[in-house]
Amino acid sequence: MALRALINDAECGPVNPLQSLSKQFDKDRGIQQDHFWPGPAGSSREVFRTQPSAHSPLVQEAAQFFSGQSGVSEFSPLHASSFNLSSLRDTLPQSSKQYVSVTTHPSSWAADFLNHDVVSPGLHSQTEEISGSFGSSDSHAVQSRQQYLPHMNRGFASGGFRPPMPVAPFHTPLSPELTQPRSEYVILEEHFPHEEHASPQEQTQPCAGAIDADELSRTAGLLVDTVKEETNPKFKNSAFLGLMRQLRDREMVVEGTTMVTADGTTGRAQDFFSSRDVKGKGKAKGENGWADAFQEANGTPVTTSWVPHQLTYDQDQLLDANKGLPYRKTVHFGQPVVSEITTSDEIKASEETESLEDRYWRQENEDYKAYWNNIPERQTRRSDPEWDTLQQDWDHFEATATGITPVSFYQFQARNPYLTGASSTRVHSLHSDGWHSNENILEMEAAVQQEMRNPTLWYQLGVKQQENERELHAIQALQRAVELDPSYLEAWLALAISYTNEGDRNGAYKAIEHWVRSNTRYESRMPMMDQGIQAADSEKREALVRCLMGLARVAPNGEVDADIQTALGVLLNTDEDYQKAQDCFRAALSVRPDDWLLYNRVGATLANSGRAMDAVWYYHQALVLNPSYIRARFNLGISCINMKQYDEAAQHILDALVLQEHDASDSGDTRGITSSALWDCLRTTSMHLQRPELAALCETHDLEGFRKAFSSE
Amino acid sequence: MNTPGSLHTPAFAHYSVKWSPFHTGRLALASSANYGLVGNGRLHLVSLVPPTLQLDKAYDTQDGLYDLAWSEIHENQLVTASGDGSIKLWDIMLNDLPIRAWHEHSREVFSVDWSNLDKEFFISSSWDGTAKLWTPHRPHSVQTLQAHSACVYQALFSPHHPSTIATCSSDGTMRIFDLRAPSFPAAPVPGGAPGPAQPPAQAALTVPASTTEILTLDWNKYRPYNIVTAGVDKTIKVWDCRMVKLGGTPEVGGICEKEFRGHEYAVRKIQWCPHRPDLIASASYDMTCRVWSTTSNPPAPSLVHIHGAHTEFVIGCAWSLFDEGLLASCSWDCKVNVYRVPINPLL
Repeated sequence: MALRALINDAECGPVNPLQSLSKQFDKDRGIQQDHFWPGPAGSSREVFRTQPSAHSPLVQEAAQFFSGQSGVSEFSPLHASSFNLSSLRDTLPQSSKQYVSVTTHPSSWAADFLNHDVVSPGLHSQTEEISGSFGSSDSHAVQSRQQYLPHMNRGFASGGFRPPMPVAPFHTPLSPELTQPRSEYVILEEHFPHEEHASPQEQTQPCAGAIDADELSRTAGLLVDTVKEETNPKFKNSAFLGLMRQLRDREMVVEGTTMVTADGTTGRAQDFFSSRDVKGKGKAKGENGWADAFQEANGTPVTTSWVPHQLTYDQDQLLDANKGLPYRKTVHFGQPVVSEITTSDEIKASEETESLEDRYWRQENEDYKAYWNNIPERQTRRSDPEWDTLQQDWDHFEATATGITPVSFYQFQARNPYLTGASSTRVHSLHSDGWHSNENILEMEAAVQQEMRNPTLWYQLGVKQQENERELHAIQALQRAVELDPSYLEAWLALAISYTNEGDRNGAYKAIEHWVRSNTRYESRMPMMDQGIQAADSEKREALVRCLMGLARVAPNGEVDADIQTALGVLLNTDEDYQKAQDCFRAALSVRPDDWLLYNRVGATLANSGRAMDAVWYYHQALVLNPSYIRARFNLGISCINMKQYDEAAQHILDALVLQEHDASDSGDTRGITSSALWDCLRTTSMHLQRPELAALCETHDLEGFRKAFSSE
Repeated sequence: MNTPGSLHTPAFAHYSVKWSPFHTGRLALASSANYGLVGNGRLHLVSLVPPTLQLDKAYDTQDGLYDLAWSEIHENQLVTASGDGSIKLWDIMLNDLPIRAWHEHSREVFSVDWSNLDKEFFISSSWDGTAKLWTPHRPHSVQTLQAHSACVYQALFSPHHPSTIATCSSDGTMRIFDLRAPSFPAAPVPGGAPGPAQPPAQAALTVPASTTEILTLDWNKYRPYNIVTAGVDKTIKVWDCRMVKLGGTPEVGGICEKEFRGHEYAVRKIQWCPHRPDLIASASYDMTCRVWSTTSNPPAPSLVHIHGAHTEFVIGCAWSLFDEGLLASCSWDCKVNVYRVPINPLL
């Protein structure tokens, strides 16, 4: 097949899980604190993690084990791979869940032998057949289990557990021992739900109707619980979640194919659809009501279809609930699967059938558990500060395909001509009134390189990079500036803008917070600020807006503080409140009529709110003040695209690219210097111009070729 | 056309939206009453008359509709997937009733997809763990694939190789099957119960893509070896499946090229842009529909656009096949929104 020909293509490369952690939108950055927890750990939005099963002792234990060990030597290859074990947290509860789900399926081999003595007579009669097929379908059995095993093998083997045994015993008669190749935990997890449900299943079948109301309300309750800490007003106003609440409280019940209030008289279900349509509701054409459907094959409730998947691991409970009613119980309420159920009678039963070897391993596991239960306390206490330092150090690095490199260190261009003896040509007007814009990036980089600890130079470089449409360089330079001088107000503000452009709201909030904190001008109002700043992450934006509004009001003599207005504008912009943001930028502009950056910001907010036409004037103003302002030129191009002026758009974007190219040193590689956003945009424009050959040139970032082709007309 | 066109279909929560492959502005919507909990379904036909959406026609069904697929061979036909396990073929020139119905799946049918290459065939996937191959002219399924031992949320034909399908499941794996491979168990007797011990069919490639459920996947329309998956772990993952050897020994693997995080709840539907190899749209339970770019390198912004107008879970999204950058998304707020993904100017 053609697919095969593609093997060994250069694009195959390892993807480091750490890298992917970085792009959290609207989320607490605190997550990266612990590499062993793959998901975000501390975010207030992670409501699901508060559910019990995420804290199963087994998981904690394993995590403690790994963290305890890895704290010692972080960079050894061994532990590089142990980072991947971060998935352990998921896989442990997960793998058990997968097993349960396997067993619930009538056609899976595991279900057959695990259930064989409890399930319906129909299956019973087929036992022979099944056992026969076991011999022949060995390969299938092995194969299917192997899909689940790899996770566990990884986890357990490196965690000092017994490596999985060969899959030999499959030819033995059907009995629980069949499960022995798996680790002890899995046996326990898998076993008890089944042993337990055996009798309930038989009992519940006849009175499924009653149970299903219970289960429905419970499931609805679970669902409501999972989003109860959600701060998004949409979730509070959600009609669906409202319905779930009513189902949970039994104010609403399912009858046939409709929903009615509990008294059964009014069909108030339509309230949830705002009584807009009555037709939709009552039009049940068939008599197969919900209850009937519920008792269908495998006792599968129809409820399953609506249980949303939004829940993370803890939704396992719900999801397993999908597989059949009896499982819901066992999975829900047997959360500490290992520890608590061991006390039940079932374990005795299984102990009797347990082989010597099994017993040995079980004992071993328990000892092991006991050991680690005692150790971590000592160890974590001691190693925490140590670990934190390591963590901090680690945060400054990122793993790339070529190895571990420092994060956020500004990449200067190679072979900068201004560094090779020509530095005297640089005009030193920096400390006079307002630095000028005509300097190019290379000049500024050279200046920075000669004075690496000068925050002002870093700041200017950062702003210039912003203007030149290179947000990442800008962020790195600005970060450096505020590192060197944490009270550098302008740099914080510029950083907030860069973060906003990158879609990193939290970064923007934090930068503005820093800006407010370091602003000595309003020191007397500090108590008010503190109030705002101590707010939780979720309310930070509102608090900051309130705080800044307050500051704007107390400005002496009613004068407008352009910086406050800009900060407010940025905040409002992150929240897509473009109208207000635009007012703020305009206010700032009224006191700084020569600031081309502000013109562009007003333009961009206008364009964001769909007023491309109006934005054009502002972009032009910005360009009059600073003709080499690449960002404004690019934005102008975008507005032209939105107005379907593709020819003009292409011209502006091309100009922006040409300007960007001027920033390149003579090292020959111009490709890295032009930004791909511009190229993408130019490509789209070329397509709109019905010029596919130009679009092809964009793919290769061939500026020279494009210039020739485009301007030759 | 920055303002979204929007259409409200009272009382029917949407499950899927698809653009017609034949007519520029034609859309179909699969929806269910009571959020698909109980009750009826309704198939809506909608046309885009810029800047508004208008409802052309609606068909009621006895059970909730979870998905639909336009025929690739007949401009007026489409199939729908039902909660009762049935699949129905509709002709939109006729009223009220489907022109054909099949009922072989024992549980909810969760996806249908029409082949782009073998235009005679479409495939369905169900919570009963199977994917079934159909052709409109036959009364029974052509082939049954025991794809997973758990719910199969989606099965999609490769747009590059005939007879190649990808499936994703609540077991956390994404699988690629070659339908011509011989090792499938015989299809069960139509209408009868599924065989008790049917082992899963042999996949050409199994990708352990997530530790939780994978709800959705899509093939890249330009790179035959790229697949994107997403699900309960809130992460969108782009996979390179170049190691797949069709017809060879089963393989486990796949290289995760990119991961996109940002959705606050599970991702329910994902689709590559038909016009560009690097754009992905995703619909999520966090009530947003987002667009991502795969070309930007980390930490450059990969999130291109957020559509936040929906007020309930966003369940479906679809790129227009004719108009580049035009996106439709549908939600449990009973609204379908059509909008252009803007290029955001920067401050």
